[in-house]
Amino acid sequence: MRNNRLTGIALAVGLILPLAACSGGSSDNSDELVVQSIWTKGTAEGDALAKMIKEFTAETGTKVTWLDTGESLADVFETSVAGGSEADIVLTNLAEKTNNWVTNGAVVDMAPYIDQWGLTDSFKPDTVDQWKDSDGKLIGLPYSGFTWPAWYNMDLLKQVGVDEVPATTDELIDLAGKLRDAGIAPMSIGGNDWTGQKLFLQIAQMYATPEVAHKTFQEGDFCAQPDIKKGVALFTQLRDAGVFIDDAEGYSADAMNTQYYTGKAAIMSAGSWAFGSADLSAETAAATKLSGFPLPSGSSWDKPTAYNGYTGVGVLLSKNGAKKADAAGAFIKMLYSDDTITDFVSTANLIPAVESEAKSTNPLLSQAVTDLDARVDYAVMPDTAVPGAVADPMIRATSIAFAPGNDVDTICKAIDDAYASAG
Amino acid sequence: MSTTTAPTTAPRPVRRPRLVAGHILAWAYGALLLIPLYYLLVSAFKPNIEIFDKPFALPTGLSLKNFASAWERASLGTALSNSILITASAALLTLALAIPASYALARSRGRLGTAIERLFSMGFLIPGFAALVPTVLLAIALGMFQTRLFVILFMPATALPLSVVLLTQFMRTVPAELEESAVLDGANRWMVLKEIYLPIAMPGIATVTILNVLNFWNEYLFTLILGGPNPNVRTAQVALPTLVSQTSTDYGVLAAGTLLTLLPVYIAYILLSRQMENALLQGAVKG
Repeated sequence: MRNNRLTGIALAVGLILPLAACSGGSSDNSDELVVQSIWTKGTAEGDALAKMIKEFTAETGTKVTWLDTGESLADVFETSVAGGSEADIVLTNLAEKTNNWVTNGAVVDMAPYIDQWGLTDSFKPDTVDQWKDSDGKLIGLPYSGFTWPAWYNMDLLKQVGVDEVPATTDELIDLAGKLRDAGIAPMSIGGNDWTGQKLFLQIAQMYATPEVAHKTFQEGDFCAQPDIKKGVALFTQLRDAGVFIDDAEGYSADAMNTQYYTGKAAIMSAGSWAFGSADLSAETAAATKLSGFPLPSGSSWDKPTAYNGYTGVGVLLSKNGAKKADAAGAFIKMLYSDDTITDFVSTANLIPAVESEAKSTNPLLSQAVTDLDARVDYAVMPDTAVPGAVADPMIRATSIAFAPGNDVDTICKAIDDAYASAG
Repeated sequence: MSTTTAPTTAPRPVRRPRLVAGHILAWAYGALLLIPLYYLLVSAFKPNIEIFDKPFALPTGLSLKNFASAWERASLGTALSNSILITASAALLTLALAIPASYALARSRGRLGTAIERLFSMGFLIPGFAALVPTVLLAIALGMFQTRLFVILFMPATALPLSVVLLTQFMRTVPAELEESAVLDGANRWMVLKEIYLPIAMPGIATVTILNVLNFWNEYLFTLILGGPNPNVRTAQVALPTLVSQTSTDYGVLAAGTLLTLLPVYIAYILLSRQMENALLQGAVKG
């Protein structure tokens, strides 16, 4: 009996090992493509991509393997490059590691391919430039953009007798007091993550020119730059006046959203990716007015500020993909086709980087596309300037800024330490 | 005339304060362990807003929608099969290597045996992360990068130091006389190992297996890098994070997916812990 058991185990191992030898990654066969994306299966963007992949295979006969690696994409892709088994086409955002991918050979410069694939005139102005690295090499083709405004729940503002979104920080402080008196938290923010970092840097650049803001974000030394230091002081003034939700330093982006979605907070700063959130009720969406963050007197900006950009998701081509440029080109052209773009806009509320007539039925996206430009100026998006290695330590530093009691010098030191720690 | 006698009642046990404090601490510790499990369980039946708004409240419904969504979105069927394949194969391979090694070390009397045992113990000194880059290079050089086979072959290497050290100690408890009588009766080394050492060391084998299965099942970094992201190859631990997004994570779905990936390991633990108890009893009877 026991011998039979041992034989069974030996047989199982014998069967298992050949099965286990199956591998993932790109092959040299030009009838096969490997596409790796930050979009994952089951999300609106993932489902739109899955549909397109199915149609592409049906039309061309090219088999596509989809690696939906999500947030671990950069690590997995870089390791795959070391093994020569990287995906042919990568759909990811431009941040941190991605910035260096042409320089370190992980992907190819895509400049020659835009003409080759007939896409030159397709893109909105300036969108392609956002994907160029410091050497002018094109890391990827822009695919989707974002807007990142301040959201105001006008029903809650009206409850406290305010009919318009605040245009100045004085008005914002006044509104915060009224909201607090009514038991409503003023501005919800994820003080301990990237949402807090972006809001902090948006306020920090209130008195600076875009050039100064960009240079400071790139190099650090915040308090050595008087205009930026003045912005940090404004941040502490707003914090101490109770503009942000209590204990903001402990909130994440999801906790921030929940406070706004449930009507416990009247304002938040969130990007267009949240327009289609399943947790956002139709009533709250209808009550929401998108605008910018109010300006202090003497600000260098003319209108309240928001962020925007076209670095949300881009299309990158690896060295493996460049070897199959025809198949990869066919895939990418289909990705930019009217039908696919329409599908992404209508189902995933995507803001396309190419000129398109596609319309979304999402009321917030429509508001952002049609009205936001007139209401706001667009501040310097930190992701295009803050070095990748600084991003994470800086988030830890900016969470300190949301904690009451930390003054301007303490905050500047924490941020400078973040730059120093990254070398 | 009736006589009355004093009622004879049993003396009431005196509750000593120390005992009560012990009970309170034990229950508090138990509750501390249960709170995260409770949170995970109730979150699996809630939407995001409920999770953040009332984190510890009972769910308003018991819909299995989150479980179905997690299963579909992370391709958990394939991922769990891969995890079971890799964990079971690696655990078997570890035992196949550790048992003979431990037997030899337990019976060794010379300096060489001591040196080899210390060599195994030194394996603890190598941090797992430090082995990552050389291991990736090795996998690439062998042409086995991003294959399940390499992960299966690699896992036992990480588990052997602890497995060998633990099993050697268990096997040292076997009286040398038992082996001598078996040898006198004509048993060879293999039979001695199989018929005498294995049954008596079964509690140790079960313990080592539980530890290894838990480690192999929960391994993330090495399986992500060495196994790769292909949905046909990736394990449950690599598939699960695909449910996380920086901008829009559905935590109910994530909690449901986490529960699904915990189930097999709980079942394995229950099965092996029973086997360990049986083996303990068996060993006691034989002894």
